[in-house]
Amino acid sequence: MKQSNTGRIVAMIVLTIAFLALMLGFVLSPKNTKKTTLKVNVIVENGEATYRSFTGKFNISRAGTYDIAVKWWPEEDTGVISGFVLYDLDGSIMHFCTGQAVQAGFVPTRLEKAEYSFDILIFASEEEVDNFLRKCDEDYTSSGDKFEGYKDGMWEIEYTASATLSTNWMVLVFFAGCIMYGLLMTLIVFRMCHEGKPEYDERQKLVNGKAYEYGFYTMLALCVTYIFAWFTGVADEFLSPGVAVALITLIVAAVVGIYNVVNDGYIAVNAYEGRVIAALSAILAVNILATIGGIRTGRLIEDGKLGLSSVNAFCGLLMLALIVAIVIKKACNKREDDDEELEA
Amino acid sequence: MKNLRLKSARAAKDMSQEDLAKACGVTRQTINAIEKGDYNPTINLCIAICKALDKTLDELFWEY
Repeated sequence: MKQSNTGRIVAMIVLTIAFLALMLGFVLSPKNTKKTTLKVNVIVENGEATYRSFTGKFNISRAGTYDIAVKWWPEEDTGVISGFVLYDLDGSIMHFCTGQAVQAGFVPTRLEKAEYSFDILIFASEEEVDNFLRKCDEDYTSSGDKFEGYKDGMWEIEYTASATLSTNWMVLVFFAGCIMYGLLMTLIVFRMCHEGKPEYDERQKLVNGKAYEYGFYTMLALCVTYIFAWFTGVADEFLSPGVAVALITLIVAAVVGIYNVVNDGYIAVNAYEGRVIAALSAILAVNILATIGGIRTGRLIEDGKLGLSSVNAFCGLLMLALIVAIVIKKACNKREDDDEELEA
Repeated sequence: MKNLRLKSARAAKDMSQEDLAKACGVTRQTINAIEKGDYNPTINLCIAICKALDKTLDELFWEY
């Protein structure tokens, strides 16, 4: 009998859309770039700037390696040199540079989840530049190259300082996601071509239906609880709506999955228990890695709330619960088998 | 109520629950549930079990 693959094709389309949305969301996430723009009137009279420095801040909400750059407009026809200093959390200088090197950007810099301050400096003479560089670096010696364009005047300059999460890390996540997606699609296509769809017997279908019923009631209860918690403001203290929806989905999946396992409705007639456990273990491993990554980048708990990585942690817990339930059920079934053999 | 007739018919054919389950295209737990009286099978499954055990519906499932 020809097996219908409609379910798998739909699953592939849903997975593809979810994958694209996830990758796009990650790359375009505003958390990846912190930008501060300062528009200043630089006035130089008798070789001295009226304002010598302007302070800005990077509020880093995701720890990681950042590319830091400063750009200004207009780039030319100003009679001053610009400098940039980034301060560490203890107030010490992390990075500094002057002139065109400011625009060139820094080497990737590790920033923690915190507020970093920086100064944009205005130098109206070569002496000021040398003094600044000596203050920052005791071993500094002047190279002899001098800027010839110092002059009195007034210029409106717009400085834009940005800290962008290093592309290396993003590219790594992107490729890891692509590989996982590719493997998943290959697996689905392989199973579509070589195996029939999972077959559940009539008792298992009844169990599945009952499990979905309990899952539905659980979802209703959780949604009502969340809506109540949201209206009273309690939910906002612990989690964002996105994480809440993900958690509700996972809890419903846990109820459906564990009810099915306990009542022998989870493993299909033509499925192999070992293969199911291996697949669940693989998902568990991926989620453990993602959780560790989340802990390292400070995304497990963000601003005192459960962060995006907490979804990975809960997903891992769900997989673990399913694996444990399957193993315990297997042990119980084995004991039943032994009892049956004794009776026979 | 336990279905002892099914159990004895299976034993008479020297079949385990697993063997009967495979012959009927169901899980061993389903056969076990039928024998223990925890699950009432559909007529289709009853027929499949009867065919696997060379018995009639009356012999296995009819309650006198």
